[in-house]
Amino acid sequence: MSEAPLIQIKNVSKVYGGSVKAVDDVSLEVQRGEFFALLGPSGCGKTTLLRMLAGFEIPTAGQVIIDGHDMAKVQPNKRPVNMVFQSYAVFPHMSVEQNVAYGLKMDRRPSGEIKKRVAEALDLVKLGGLGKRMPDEMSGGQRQRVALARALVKRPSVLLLDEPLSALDAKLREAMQLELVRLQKTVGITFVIVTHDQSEALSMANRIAVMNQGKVQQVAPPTGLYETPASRFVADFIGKINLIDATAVSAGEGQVKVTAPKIGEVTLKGTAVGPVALAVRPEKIFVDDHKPTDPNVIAVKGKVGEVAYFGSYSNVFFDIGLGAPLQADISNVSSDVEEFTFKAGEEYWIYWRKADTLVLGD
Amino acid sequence: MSLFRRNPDPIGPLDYARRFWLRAIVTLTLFFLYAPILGLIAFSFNDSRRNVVWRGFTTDYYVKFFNNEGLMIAFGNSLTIALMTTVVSTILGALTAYVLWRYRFPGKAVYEGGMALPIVIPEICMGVAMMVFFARIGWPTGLPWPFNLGSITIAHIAFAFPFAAIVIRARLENFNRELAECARDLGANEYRVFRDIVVPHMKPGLIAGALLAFTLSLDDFVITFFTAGPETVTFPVKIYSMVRFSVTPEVNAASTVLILLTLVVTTIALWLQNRNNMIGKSAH
Repeated sequence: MSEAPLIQIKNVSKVYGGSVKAVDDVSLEVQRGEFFALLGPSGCGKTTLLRMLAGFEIPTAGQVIIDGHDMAKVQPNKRPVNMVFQSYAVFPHMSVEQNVAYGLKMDRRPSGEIKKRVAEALDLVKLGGLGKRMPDEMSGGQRQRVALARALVKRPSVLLLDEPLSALDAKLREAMQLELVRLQKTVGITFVIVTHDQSEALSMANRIAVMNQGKVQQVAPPTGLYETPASRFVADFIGKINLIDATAVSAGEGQVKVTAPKIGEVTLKGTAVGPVALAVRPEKIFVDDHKPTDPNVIAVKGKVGEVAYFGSYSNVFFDIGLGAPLQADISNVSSDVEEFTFKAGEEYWIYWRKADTLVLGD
Repeated sequence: MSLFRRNPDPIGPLDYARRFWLRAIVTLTLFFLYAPILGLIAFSFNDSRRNVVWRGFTTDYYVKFFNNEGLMIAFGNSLTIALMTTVVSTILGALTAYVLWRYRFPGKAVYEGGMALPIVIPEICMGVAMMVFFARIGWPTGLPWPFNLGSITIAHIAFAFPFAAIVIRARLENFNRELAECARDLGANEYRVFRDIVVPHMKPGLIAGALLAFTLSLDDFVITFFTAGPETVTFPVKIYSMVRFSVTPEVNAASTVLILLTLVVTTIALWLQNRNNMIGKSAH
């Protein structure tokens, strides 16, 4: 991209109490117009990083640059960012309109303009006509829309969202995911969202940074993160995956020769050597009565263990004689229940394409 | 009461109002709480110099009370002191509460404990201490009204503001700090956050704290007794000096007025709070 990135985070660290590293030497860039997600388990430092963008935490080391300006000495009220808080933080003693107008009032905009922009913002989040309501008369979902309108009305360069959907019930959360994507496309503002929910990040974001223990593990688009995870942690954290311990030696030209129990020796695409994990996603596994003849697959024999039925697919665990069972998601493509029922103890050939197999270092 | 008879409709676990002992305790509590006060009010209308036998209805003693210059001056003194104490205690209390809630500083625990000391120190000790203190520093006496009330007012503020601070502090405890951060994020500086977000949240605490300070000051006897001069008699002190001779219906009338005043102030405060909630509720 020729344009300079909107947000540059350069070697940022945050240390609490002299020893606890909440954020550990993180460098990231977010482009203008992106929907960027910070994803990780709780305590991984993602919220601290977001709060440093907002100005509520001061980095112990490193630099935060937004829109070309170093934010080191810029107070939260002077930054070109706005935030949607986890608790929504809707001011309880102000009406919806007053809530949304608050930021513009702080900017000393003329009252005519404030009125117009507040009405537009409320229409944008589908709360038109509810401006006179008080927050305690609104549902959680509506209050979140107020928080969104209140942040967007200021037309920030970046909108920060801290776990915005975690307090909503499952159905509403899915609707809000679509809604947020729609909003982001409409207003064209860069969104940075913090979430611990991988499906949320995968379905909404253009790019995702996976964090663990204060460090960024991988930054990639959702498909890249899911299909080509860079490490064991990322592979395990995003979605379900089978991991088989193996050892690898380099075979040149971006290939490695991997030896694993029960599987034997296979040559696969990859660069990691030494102790590695062979990884394959459960939905990429096929099951058959006969041994497959295709030389481009890896096949093992397995016995059906536990089966969990999920309607559209079944999650079947196969015992292949290794410590951990191998799980496969089998689509229930037929409505003939008998045909697709796996019974415990039955033996099958389980196979997957070599191209779908990942060789992951730690 | 069907204490010893089988009841065809047994008392459920949450039917507190149907239990004999509970009813008895509540009745007795209410009786001992309110009977003396109601008696006092009733006998303020008694047409008799002595307060023992009912001799008929009269409002003479109210007329007498309002014509008793000494009592009225004392009443005026009390109100003036109470109003000044209320204003200063509420402001001091709010600022103290805010500092204790918002900031971390060395010696905070000591400061917090020290501030609350006037609440636990026996009032008599504080009264004596105040008297000695004002004498020792040579606090001027014989100033014109209302400056002659200065020492009493200072003493009242000293013991009333910790109560206000504690009430306001308690209110601040359940403040969602994200609200303040959100206001900052929307462009407010520290002062605007305090004014627009924190103070509205504190408001019920401010009202409660002010009320507390007002009533504490209005009916304080012990500390006032030690800090008051002959020129600066307050209402409770005046009543005490009257009671030393005899409890006349005039004292009853004066007390009734004091009770009424406290009731009115409390009612107004509660009404104000309710009205605010109502405005909030009916704004659509």
